[in-house]
Amino acid sequence: MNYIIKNIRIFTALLAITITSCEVVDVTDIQPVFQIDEGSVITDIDGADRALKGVYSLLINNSQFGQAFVVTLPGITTNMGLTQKPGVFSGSSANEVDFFTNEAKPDNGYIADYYPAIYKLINNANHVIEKTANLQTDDPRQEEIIAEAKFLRALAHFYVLRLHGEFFDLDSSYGIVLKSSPVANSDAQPRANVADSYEFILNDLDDAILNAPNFSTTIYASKLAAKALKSKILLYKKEYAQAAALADEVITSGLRTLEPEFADVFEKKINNPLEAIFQTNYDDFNEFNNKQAYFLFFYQLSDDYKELLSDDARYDAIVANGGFYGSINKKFANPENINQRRSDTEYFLRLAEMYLIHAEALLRSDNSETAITIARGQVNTIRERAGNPLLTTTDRFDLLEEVRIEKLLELGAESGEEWFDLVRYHKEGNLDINTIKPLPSEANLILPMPQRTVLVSNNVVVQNPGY
Amino acid sequence: MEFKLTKIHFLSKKWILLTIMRTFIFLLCTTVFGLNTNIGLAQEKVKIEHDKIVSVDEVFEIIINQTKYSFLYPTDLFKDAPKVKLKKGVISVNDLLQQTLPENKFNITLGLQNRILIKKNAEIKNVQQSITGKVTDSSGDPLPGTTIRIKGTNKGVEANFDGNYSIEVELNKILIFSYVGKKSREITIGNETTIDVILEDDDESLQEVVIIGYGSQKRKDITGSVSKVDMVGVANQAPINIDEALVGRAPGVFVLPANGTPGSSAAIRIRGTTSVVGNNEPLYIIDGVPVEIGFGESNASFQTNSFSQTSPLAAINPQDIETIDILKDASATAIYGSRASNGVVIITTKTGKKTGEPSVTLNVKTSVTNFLNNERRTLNSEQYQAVVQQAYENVNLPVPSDAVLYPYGRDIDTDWVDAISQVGYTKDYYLNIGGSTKNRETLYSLSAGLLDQTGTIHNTGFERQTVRSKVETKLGKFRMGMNINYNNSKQLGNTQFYSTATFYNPTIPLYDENGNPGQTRASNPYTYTTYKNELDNTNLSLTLFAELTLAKNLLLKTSYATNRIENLSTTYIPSTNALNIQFNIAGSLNIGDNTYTSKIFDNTLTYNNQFGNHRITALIGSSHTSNSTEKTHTTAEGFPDDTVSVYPGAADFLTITNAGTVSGLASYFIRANYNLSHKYYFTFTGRADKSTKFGPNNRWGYFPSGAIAWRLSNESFMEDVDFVNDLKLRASYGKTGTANFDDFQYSTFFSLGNYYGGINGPVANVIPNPDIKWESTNQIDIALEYTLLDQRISGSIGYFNKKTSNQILLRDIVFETGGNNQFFNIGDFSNKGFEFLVGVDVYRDTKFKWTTSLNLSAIRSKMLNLNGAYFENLREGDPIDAFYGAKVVGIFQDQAEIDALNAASPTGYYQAYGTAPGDFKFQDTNGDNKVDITDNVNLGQAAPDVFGGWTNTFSYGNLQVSTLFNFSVGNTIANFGRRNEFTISDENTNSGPGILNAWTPENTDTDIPRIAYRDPNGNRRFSDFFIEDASFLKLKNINISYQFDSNLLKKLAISNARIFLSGTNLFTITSYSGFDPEINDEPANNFQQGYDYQRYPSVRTFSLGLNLNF
Repeated sequence: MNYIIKNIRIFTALLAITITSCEVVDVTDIQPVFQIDEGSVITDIDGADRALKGVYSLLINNSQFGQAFVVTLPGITTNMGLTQKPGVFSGSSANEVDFFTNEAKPDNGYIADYYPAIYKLINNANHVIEKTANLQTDDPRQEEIIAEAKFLRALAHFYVLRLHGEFFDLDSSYGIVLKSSPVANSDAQPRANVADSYEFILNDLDDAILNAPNFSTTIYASKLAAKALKSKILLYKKEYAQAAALADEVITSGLRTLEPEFADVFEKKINNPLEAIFQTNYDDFNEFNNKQAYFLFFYQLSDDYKELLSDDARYDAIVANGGFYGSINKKFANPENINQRRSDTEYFLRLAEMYLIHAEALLRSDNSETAITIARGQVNTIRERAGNPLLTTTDRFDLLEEVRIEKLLELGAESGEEWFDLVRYHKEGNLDINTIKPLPSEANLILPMPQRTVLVSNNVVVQNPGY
Repeated sequence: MEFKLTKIHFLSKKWILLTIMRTFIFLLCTTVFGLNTNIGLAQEKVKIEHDKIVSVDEVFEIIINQTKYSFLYPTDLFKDAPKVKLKKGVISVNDLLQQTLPENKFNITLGLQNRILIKKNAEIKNVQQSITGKVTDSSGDPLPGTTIRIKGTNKGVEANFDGNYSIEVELNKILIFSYVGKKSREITIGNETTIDVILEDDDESLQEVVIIGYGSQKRKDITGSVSKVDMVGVANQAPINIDEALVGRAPGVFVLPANGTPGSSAAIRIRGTTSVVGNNEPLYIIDGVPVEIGFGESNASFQTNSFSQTSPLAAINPQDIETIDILKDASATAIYGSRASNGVVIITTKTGKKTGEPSVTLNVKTSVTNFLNNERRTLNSEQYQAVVQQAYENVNLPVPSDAVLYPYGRDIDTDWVDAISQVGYTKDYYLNIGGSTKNRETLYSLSAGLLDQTGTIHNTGFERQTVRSKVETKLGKFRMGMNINYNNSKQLGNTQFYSTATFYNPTIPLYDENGNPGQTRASNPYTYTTYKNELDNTNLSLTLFAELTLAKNLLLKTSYATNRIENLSTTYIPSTNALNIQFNIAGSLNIGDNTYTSKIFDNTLTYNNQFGNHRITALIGSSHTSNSTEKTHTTAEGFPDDTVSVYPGAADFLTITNAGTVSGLASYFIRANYNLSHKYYFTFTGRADKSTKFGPNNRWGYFPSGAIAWRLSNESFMEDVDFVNDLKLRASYGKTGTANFDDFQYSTFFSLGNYYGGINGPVANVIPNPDIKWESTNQIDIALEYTLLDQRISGSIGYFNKKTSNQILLRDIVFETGGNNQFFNIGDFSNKGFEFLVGVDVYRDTKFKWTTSLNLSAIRSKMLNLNGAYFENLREGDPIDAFYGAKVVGIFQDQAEIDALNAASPTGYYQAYGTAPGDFKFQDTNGDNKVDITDNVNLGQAAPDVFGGWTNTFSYGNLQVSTLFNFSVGNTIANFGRRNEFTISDENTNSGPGILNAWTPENTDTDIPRIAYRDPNGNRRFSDFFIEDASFLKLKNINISYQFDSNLLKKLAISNARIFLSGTNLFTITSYSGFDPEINDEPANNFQQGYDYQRYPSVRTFSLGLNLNF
């Protein structure tokens, strides 16, 4: 011990050297690599724009299985809507079959895949909205960026609402979880009621209609896209008159026209399709999404749908015999070009749908004969373009059904609109869904909330009735 | 109680009784007969037949046998007396006794009935002698710090810097000179006052030195739990990678070799699994440089990369390794703080010896390997066709036409396993030159190794080149050195071919008549083996260290090390591949480039001193580590040809992704060892770690530990217990941590790589948990170490209890966050068990020796508490590696039973839509009338209840045979091979002969389900049908070696030559029906332990080697 005491000074000095040597190599003062800190991701308009593209990118590639918006959601809703059925590689997976038979359970793997993916987009949109709003700038792009992000947030929330919420009942408490700011922790948040859900979504769209850029390209949100989406949402909300007015505004804006040939819509894809209003971009490099392969392996056209198409002029543009793969959906898995392009687009909104929304909304909101005539005219515009005989129906309810059938024919096996039409028509009393597609129960009109979210939130997020 | 194993007791039983009686009398006797002993004794003479060296006791025996005299003396009086050299001839008893018993030390009197009484002479007991001298090694170098101890006491001194010592000692006492790594010497003090001692190197005693973190310690002074690996045994096994040779070598260390893939790495678990998210491999310290398997990242990332990374362990040539020490308890490991929860393995490579001259070692080895079972285990073509036919018919589907099913006709019968198999062949060369300069101040060891292994599957293999240099030099009080280790290895071939071959359609030919490979919708497995699939690993590690002796007892050491590992994986699937043809892909290339860089700056100050009976060693230090990984993955598709223009720049489509991490760890540590009289030991260790993996509030982690040990054998009350040589009881308690998971989980970060409209945008992808902190493991360890019966039996028995709390689990979170899960400190996990080790020198004489050693461990692991979170299939009360699945309760025999069950089910069906007679009936565990995942039960666990190893070494002259058995009890395996053998999914999957006994209406007495196309009942679902008990006893290795006669070799200028034949994986006793119960196809995955996917079955290896020393 004496030794130490004697040499205490040397000892202390050495200790100091040893300890302070960390200053020489401060290993803990580091920044992450390949990652950007939250505080420095949006510091100017360019950064905000870039982050906005990040949000768009989540439309095409954002879930474990791949592409929730581009593949999974259209895939399962067309299965539910009976235009497609499970493909050759999905036979053993109860998950996919369950949508076809409307028996999806809360623990369904596809739900667990796309549902958080949708909210991931919402969260990123929220980052862009909040952080862009905080920028001190006079750049007009600031408001546009926020408006585009709000459009995407509205689209995403709407997709959740129409699948998992009782969107058809404004008095229902079974709306959806609305996220208005970036996630800072993992706390659960309860579902809003349906009315509030609609209000939140429509507010976002109103902002987009006001501030989004004018239409210039189909791959980004625009005022026109916001109007079109709002029109569609109002149709779901049963505010038919407004829906019809907005649809008409989009059609008559002249910004988009119908593609002269139906088949060209799916030939042109993102290559200047005249009637697309909002669709996803893709390329075979970084924006590659494999949609064609998915539609080849996991989905094929249903027998019902083929039969319905059998005396329609669009048959050849939609149906192809894929041999081993069954009946191929040519919209996305065209055997003639399947091997060249394996990516594909998702047509969120195209003009043909606006004609049919206009027709239906008009029929439901306006009792006049003029309305029937206009509505029939809108349907016939679509039929004429397809090369089909024109309708002469004069009965409102017959025509309503004709609109639904036309939607099936025109937009079937595309984005699943046919399923939501079935639900809406059923709820409006226009048809009994069970005569077309027997459901295990009325509860199956909407999908269950994902089991995980209900369980982990300790029922703060409540399950849908009947599940 | 007294045992003697070497010496045969020269006393008969009667004699013992007599002696006891006599001793009794002697002790009671108060009268000593004062006869002139010399006169009487001088008259009697004894005859010595020939020259011999005998013990004092034996001298007395000679006298007893030849004269009328008997002896009476305390039993242990001559226990430590030097032996006596007897000359041939006749000698008087008196002279003989004078010669035998040192002068003035004993009082000899002649008692009644010619009884000679011998007593210790009390008067001369305290004569002190002052002895000085110098201790050197065989080359004349002083050995400072040599302890010189008076035998039987705790008094002693230490040699100074020049090796000089000085000690006061009584006459006839014995001095013990000991120095780490040298043979201890005992010298009896006579009249001399100067004793110079030369201590020779001793391999045996070397093993008694244990390398602990930032230092070394004598085995006997260790307070923690440290296992030393028997490197001789490891060398006998002639392993390619060091991890495979650790099987069965140390208690508490469970090693599960991956599979037969050349170059594959094993899973090593020290005292069980501690982390769910983190990976559970121990921390390796290779020549002082920490190497984390999985590069310190999470298990998920370790797992994803495990097929594109070579284990850093594969980079070390086992022949370069001198010692392996495994640190297990908290006291031993806490010096490594936050990374030590999984234990620490310290590997030290060879250093040059202070011989003053170079020593050259040349090892040459060749091995052949083959699969453990080469019998055909798949159906032949005819059987296969019958099964396919049945598969369709059983589900009432029309059997497709032959053109569809058998495009090459029905007559072809290809044994795909045979087609891809071959006899593996390994060549291994190793050259080492080591030694020191003439002045012995500079030590060096240079080595190079070359390994070329051809696998048992075509086009698989492992190549490795290693170059290593270790040089150090001394300049007075300053010592510095440098280690360089470079290696390049290449793993060839994918590991999946075997299972593909087992179920590939046998009616497909290897080649069709045009010479094109036969194929179905997928290319055949043989074709796959021909595709380029390489994993290239380059590893460079450099260490520079300097030591300065500041004062007599104070040593400053500083070292800087850098380690760089690059893994480059390349796979190319050519355009001719069946799938690529279908998708019209003109070739696809995948290149993964992972680079890991680690820089470590260590400073330690060691103080070492002794004050009387107090001995203290203290260490303080700091360590700064910075780690970074960079991963670039390139996917390229569409090449103009399949041979030349195959590089990313030539591709039509190209995707590049980058990832990487950087983390820093600043650490400060202290350790103090104190021992009192070599009886009571105290150790305190503490480490503080600051890691960037955690948020600003939780960066620091503190890891203290304490240990005490008590050497009972040094206590006076144990002095009479002769059969105990050494007995030590030790206990420790302390805390260590785990932090091997992804960096930066505490905040929201955005990463690029998300493209839209040609623009790369940032996306927030982690749901932050600002409160994330260290996982910590508290461990208690109690053990008894023993050496018994003249050092012939030694070992330890111990208990440990490890509790890991704040375990980081990827807790599921509400989906509305946009994420699936998030890291949370939430779980509690427990590992407890017993470890037992015993080594016995069973027999030893000049020619024949037999030693044996057995180690055994019993470990129980379980998840104590999930605290509301859940992760994968983790369940409270079960271990991580539990298998959950359906339970088969029988086979449905009639439709009525199925109908009844379906009717009762709320979903309309009991277990599947397509259930029919002949299908498995699964258990409805929860009684809800239907079978789904909620009915899954625990079907067993991958880790064994008890495991261990048993080694035996027999040597006879120059011939040596050593064997290693390892065993495992209570482990189960998910046998996916069995799934392929007994069930069929579609027409393109072959099965095994077992399926021929499948259920049919005629063959109902079977446990094999019916054959059904696309398996409508889900008979292939994960169930206990595929889970098998895999307890085993295996002859892991046998080695037969012959050491050539050194006289013979001298003429050839060879100092040592040894030839050996070694066999690995020779036979196994097990009920497991797969190839090998010792299998782990996904060593990196915590949740896939014990899965046998038959990716690359284990192999049997025979090696023939020659070791030469010049």
